[in-house]
Amino acid sequence: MSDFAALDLVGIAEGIARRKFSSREVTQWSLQRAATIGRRYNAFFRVDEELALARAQKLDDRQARGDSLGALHGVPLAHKDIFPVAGREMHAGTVILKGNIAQRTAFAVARLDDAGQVNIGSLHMSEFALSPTGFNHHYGSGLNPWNPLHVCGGSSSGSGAAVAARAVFGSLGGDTAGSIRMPAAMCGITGLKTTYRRMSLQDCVPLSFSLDSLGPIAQSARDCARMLTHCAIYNPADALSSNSPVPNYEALLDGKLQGLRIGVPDKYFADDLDDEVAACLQASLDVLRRCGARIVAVDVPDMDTINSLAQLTMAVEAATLHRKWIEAMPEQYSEQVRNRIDQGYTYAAVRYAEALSLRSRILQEFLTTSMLDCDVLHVPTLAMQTPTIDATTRGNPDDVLKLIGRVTRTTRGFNYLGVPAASVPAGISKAGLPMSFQLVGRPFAEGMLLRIADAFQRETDWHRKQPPLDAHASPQIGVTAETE
Amino acid sequence: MSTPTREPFPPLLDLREAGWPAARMATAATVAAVNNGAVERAAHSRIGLTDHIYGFGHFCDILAAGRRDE
Repeated sequence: MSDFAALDLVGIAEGIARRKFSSREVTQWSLQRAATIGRRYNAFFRVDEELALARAQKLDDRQARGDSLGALHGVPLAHKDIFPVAGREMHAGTVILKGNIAQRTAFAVARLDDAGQVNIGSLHMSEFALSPTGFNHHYGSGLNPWNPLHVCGGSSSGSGAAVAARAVFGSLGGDTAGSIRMPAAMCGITGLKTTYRRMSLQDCVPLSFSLDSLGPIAQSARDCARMLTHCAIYNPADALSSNSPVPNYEALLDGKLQGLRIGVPDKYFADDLDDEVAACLQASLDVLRRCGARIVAVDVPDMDTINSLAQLTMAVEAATLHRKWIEAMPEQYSEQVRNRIDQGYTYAAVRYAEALSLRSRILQEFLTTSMLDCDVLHVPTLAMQTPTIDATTRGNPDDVLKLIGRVTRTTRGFNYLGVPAASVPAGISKAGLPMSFQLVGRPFAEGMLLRIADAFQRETDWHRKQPPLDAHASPQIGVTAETE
Repeated sequence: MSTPTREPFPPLLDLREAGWPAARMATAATVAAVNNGAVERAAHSRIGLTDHIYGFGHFCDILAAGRRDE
């Protein structure tokens, strides 16, 4: 069996299209990888071997007949377990939904089916998407393929681990406070949270309906561009789905940054910044400057206030969504998740209404201050070093909560603003863990973010680095310690 | 006139009844106080009647208008 680990999503699609190898060959390789390495890092909830092989064979047969091929024809992917697939189990990392068989396929996943994906299974995630580290009391934490003692990021933890471990070539994730960008950053791959409403959320398990966004996670910006072109389609059955035109994102990737202005905020994002991360951010700016971009200093609104608005909105909406189940079967929730949901019951209705009413005004402020003189912002995805699983699960609960809060300090505000944001790998720390930067754009500027990320990746190879999988002794799967 | 037995706006869920220990209640109250205060101050200084009325639609309009041709 060939080793496909050196190829990315676009490379696999092109190899199949040129008949260098078949979808069945790649899918077999991917399934084997999922069953061994994927399981080692707790990246999968379920692997659908028979279904995937049947699908791959069908796609190979179509190709043999001379049928036209989709842009993802035959490429093995897998998605976070918030995306239902008709006839298969989806439990969103919970006990409550264990055994739930989906009636229909999520709109975004169905669009990837149309483009020719082979969906090989469902990926690990935090319980109801309520952890930025990949913690899951019921099914064990997601483990980082770069070092399984460290968190892999969440809540799209399996997406990060499976793509980084080269078990699949791309994945869809969901992002309410950083849940795409965090696993991408911690696992050394590329992740894009799209503009609010850019991708239809139809049938996906919600966490906070005002903040939830979807997006691709893959090795490169080009991979993400290819996926997004096929799943950002307007959904007329979803009243919240945007009908803003969807470009061919891949066609926008020209490697040229001349004339583009990259804004670096002069406050907030530099606070609490780890020295190695700071050096990595500076080095990435040097690369972008060499590519032709101009680096400019910009102001940002009061991000602490925006974070409070995001936190309150998420807590209240999660509490609202879960109230019936919390009352009927509180024991089915893990303690850490219960604590986070219950916090939502402490807020007054007026504060929540104010938080939502403020959203347009604060977005306007952001666009007319931060984004007036630049095309994108360049900020850290994660301002600190990737923490260990122990640091985020054991010890003094207050310290643990503070640490978890620091993880999403630089990401969750952009969910409140509704704007797109991408995490781009940009270095490896002395401890051997990936570091990244985050690009933030104007609404619906996914193409701009991908274009800049792609230009950076033409000059660097951080996104090509593979974790030292062979170096790890079999890690202990099933870390279930709670914060208390 | 009867005396109200509960506060005018009681929390939807009594966390003490839900089994929260005092230390966790205090932590939750601290977090809530920070967020409540930030929202209250921002609302006081930034928004008026029509912002409340048009909230979500206005937000979506600004998102759509914020787009730039790439």
